[in-house]
Amino acid sequence: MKLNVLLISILSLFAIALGYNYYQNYQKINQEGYLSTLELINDLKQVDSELNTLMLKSRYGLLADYDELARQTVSAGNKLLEIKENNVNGYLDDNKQLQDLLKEYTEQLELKTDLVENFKSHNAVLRNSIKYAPPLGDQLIDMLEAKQPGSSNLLKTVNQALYRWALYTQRNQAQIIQTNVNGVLDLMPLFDDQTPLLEYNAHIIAVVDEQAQTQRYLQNALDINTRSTLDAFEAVYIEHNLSLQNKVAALTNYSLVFGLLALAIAIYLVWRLRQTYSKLETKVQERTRQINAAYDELKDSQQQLVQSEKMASLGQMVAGIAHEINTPLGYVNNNVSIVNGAFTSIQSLMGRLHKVYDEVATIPRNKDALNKSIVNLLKHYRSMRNEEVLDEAKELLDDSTHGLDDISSLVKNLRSFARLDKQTIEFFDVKVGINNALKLVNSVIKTKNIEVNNNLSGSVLLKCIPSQLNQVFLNIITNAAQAIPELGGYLDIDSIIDDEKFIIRFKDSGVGMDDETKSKIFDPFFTTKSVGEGTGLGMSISYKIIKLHKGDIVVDSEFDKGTTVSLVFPLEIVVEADAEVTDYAQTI
Amino acid sequence: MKSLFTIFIVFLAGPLLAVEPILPIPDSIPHDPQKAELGKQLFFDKRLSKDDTLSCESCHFLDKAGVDLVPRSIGVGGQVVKRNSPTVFNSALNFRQLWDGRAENLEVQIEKAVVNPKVMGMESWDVLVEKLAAVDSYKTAFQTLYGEPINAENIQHAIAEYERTLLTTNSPFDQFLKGNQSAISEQAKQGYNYFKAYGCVSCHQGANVGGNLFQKMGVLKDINLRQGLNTDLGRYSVTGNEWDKRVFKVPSLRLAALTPPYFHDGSVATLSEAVDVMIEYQLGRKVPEDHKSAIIEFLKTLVGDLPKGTTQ
Repeated sequence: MKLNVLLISILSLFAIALGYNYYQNYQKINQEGYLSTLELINDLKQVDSELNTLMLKSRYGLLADYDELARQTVSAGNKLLEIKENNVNGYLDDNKQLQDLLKEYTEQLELKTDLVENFKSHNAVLRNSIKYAPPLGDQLIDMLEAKQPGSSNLLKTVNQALYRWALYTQRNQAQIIQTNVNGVLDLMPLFDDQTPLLEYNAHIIAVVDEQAQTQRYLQNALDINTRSTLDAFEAVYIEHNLSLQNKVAALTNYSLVFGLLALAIAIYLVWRLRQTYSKLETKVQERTRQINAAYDELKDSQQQLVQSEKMASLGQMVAGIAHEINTPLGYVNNNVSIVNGAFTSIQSLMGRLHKVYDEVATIPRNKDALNKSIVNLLKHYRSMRNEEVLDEAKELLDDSTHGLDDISSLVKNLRSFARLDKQTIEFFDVKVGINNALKLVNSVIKTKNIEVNNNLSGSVLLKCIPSQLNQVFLNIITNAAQAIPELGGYLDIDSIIDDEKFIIRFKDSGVGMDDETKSKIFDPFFTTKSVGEGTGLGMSISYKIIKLHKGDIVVDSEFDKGTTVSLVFPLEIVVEADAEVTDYAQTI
Repeated sequence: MKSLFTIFIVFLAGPLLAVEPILPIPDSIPHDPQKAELGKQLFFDKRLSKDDTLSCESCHFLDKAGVDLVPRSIGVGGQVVKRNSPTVFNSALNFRQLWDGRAENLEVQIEKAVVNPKVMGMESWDVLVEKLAAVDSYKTAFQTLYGEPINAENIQHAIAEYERTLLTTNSPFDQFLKGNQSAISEQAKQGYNYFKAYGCVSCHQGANVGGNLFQKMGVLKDINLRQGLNTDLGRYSVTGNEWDKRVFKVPSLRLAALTPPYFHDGSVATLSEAVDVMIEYQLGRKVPEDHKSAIIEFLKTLVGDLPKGTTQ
């Protein structure tokens, strides 16, 4: 059990840790943020190339206004800011490489923006001068040629160089112009109005300067490899995201493995539980079997006890019955032997009568012998008559017949009582049952000179198991008889019937019971009798029997005064009660 | 030689192929009308200044072409600010804000103006936010429109949103650009040609006729030769680059005809004079008077309609 708890705890902890880690990493994956950042990077690339194109267009006069160029520089700055703000869950904070690249790009963009601004300014000035200076130079050349042919050679060289420099950035052309700038000013005396020449001079200087500047800023701006920085940033960014995704994917796998592991452990736990359960079941079965065996054993021994109680009752009964039989048997025996004596006298009489018959029949007759035999016969008859042998015998035989009747009656009772083992439900007359029981304990009753007042008037038929009720009656009457001291006493038996119940009461004038005895009276094996006299099961069994008949036993007892045992039966088992009983009940 | 030829062709053909350097003002810039309406209230709200005396509109009168017509505006407590106030109209079309371009956009310009001790003079934005948060209508309006309590960012955004609506569309010149030949006079058309021919358009191009690049004052003639305009070093004060000395954002010429005085210090009182300065120092040449007046005539055609509801 402890192992299970430990396993579950470890599993839970592991699951929490894994879940937390997963959540942490999963949160970092903001696919939307990631995609929008990628989009921004692409936008920046586009803006970057757009900037380059626009600068070139401006440089070569294909674009007359800076609106778009200005918009693109602003847009680049905004998009960069957006990327920084788009820093989904610290993407940029986690990755040093990304930080560095973004910083590099920021610097590049700042520089580029600066260069673009400068380019715009210088390009504007250049555009102005380049438009103005060469035609002015041509005018000046014409003026000089008109005045003094060949004097414009220097100016021609400069103006040609100006065209070339303007159109096709050649360093040497710029140098040609620069080396001849002073020469141009030297031409001043040749002009009446020197202003155009001065203007020309200013503009060629401007063209040279601005062209160089414009070209420089343009070139520098184009040279800034923002594109490769952005490419690198994008690559690292994608890689970063990918590794994060892989991490989450790995965590997903771990989760899966963990899930399987957890499942395995859960299965193991269930298996163990089942194992324990089946063990338990086996144990329970074993115990049940043991309990059943013990119960059977107990039942057996209980039955044995019940049997021995029966035997004990039977023993007592037999003792009583033996006594009952013995007494009449004694005097019958005695009478028979006395009658037997009388019979000898009759036999002797009959012999003398036979002698007389013989003498009478002898021819010739011997008178003396005849007389002698007659006298002998009469003498014997006289003595018999005097001794009243036949009367006595008749009396003895009558007496014996009475004794034999007694025995016969007892046997008949006994047979009635033998229904003890019959467990069938029958209609049973309570009065008959009680009378039988009384007869069975008659010896005790007589010995102790107990006055039995059987006030059961009328008869009541109960639907019951008669042998069982007999056992109860016998038990109660025996107890009562035993409780009555040697000096004698009484046992009153009566019955009451009312609307609800039928009650049989046994009231004795015995020793009674103290409270402790009374409280234990129905306990099995509780007895106040000496060993061998009782099993302590009589009342217990009686109680059970009465309960079986839906009835109740109420014991009312006072120490030294006597005990009243009442058997209370519900009316439902009363099948028939004659009017006498009912009347009696109504008088209560 | 072949490449030289190609470039030559391109160079010559370029101007022919190229579209006009000046573009019509767009009909509108994307914005949230409700936020713009909220911004309008703020634009006119004097609580934006330290002592409740000035609103944005105090220097950018909407009925005076978005300027105050003085060389340099009077800020909080009567202080004179450093530079001339440019018009608020079409300002959203500028690539940056302020003369030296130190504000990347309108929001930043607003942020700076409010806490500039010489302009609105607020101690800090926190103070302003607290001040405006006490106004129930603002409190609920911001909560409703922005889904968050009033703060510096959304105040700036609301005002900027309003300013994005301040476009002067449908100018005669824009109509001309869109093909209406009779929208402007012949003189103005001539002026436009001069504007291009003399090179003004090198810098003053695009929809806002300027406002999309920086340029140095005095590219062809030393500006020090003229008193006044030379003292302010412009963008140099922002970048510290030598080249940026006296570099300023090229201003829009859209409402130039209505917004004297001129240049960053407002030292030039008339448009004619301003054109002279430009011709002299930026173009490095002489321009005949009739050409100049044609150019001025052209500049007048750049003025479009004031948007509806620009007055309180």
